[in-house]
Amino acid sequence: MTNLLKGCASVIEKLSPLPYGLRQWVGQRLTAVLMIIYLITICVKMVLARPLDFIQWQYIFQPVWMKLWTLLFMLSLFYHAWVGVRDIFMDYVGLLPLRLGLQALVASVLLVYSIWSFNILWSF
Amino acid sequence: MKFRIYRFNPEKDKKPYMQDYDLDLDNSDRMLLDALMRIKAIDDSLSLRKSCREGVCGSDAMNINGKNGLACITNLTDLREPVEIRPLPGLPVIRDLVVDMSQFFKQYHSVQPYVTNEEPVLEQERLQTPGDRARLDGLYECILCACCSTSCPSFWWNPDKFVGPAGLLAAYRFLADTRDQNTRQRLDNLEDPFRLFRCHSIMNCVDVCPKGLNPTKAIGKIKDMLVKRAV
Repeated sequence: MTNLLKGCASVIEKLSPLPYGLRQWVGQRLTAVLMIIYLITICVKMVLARPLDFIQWQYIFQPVWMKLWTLLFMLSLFYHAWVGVRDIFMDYVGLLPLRLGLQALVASVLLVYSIWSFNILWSF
Repeated sequence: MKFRIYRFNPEKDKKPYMQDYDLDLDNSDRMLLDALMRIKAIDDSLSLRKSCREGVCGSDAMNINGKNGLACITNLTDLREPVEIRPLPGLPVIRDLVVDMSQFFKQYHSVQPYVTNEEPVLEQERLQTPGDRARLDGLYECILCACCSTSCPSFWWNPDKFVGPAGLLAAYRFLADTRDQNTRQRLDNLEDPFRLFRCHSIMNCVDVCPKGLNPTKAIGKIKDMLVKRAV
């Protein structure tokens, strides 16, 4: 199992244009910038939509561009969280099989969250 | 003045303990090292490293009231009592305040802390402009006391994989040196997820450096160089 996970990590590494450490570090910063821009957007939208009841809330997310923008925000949030949690595991969990297992668990949860986010946004 | 000092002699102690000392200081006793030498005169079993006694050699680095520092430049009047003195955290204790710094120096050596230049050796020095020389300020002054690396949680958890602030400061000192021709290999050496990217910029290293250096800033510049190289 450990060899399989190591093999997967190696394949991902080879396919990646940036080295793994740098890619994660840059990715975390880019997603942070994207999330700040989104939060400004949503704050402005909420202020303009006052009084903010459920109808207005639905109206904010009606345009397709807003759905896509929100989905991008959610995916950025999950990627940002992934790098942060992975860092914690790399720092504190020394046992490689346990660390890879925990990382796989978190990745699975974040994947479910991503699908769930898509489902919520397109149900408006 | 009251002191509590970490004691551990692996030849006779099963586990470490704290020993209390109550000391009458002279007017000439200004620094913590003066007090420790006075304690050592009373109890010669106390082990510690020291050499220059003026903050240049970095030998007497220790954990003083919870913060790493050099005993020889720590003013006694700045310390609350009892002064609790422990060895540098995160390194194996050899005896009392003496730690095994092998891992620390192994990481330091791993960044090749010397100028690499394949051009024929000149009959005179390899000259730099004043501007190029100024880029090394804040980098070359490190005395390798290990106060920074041993206050870094990332170094505590992964001392065999993470280079640590002292090693990374040295790495940037040679990356910033215009006489060095080994930039690509130096960056390759730091690119994996552990060697450099375990630094989360919590700046404990900056807080404790007795020379007032800023390893976090140097680490940031290495990351900038890696990004610029990649894009």
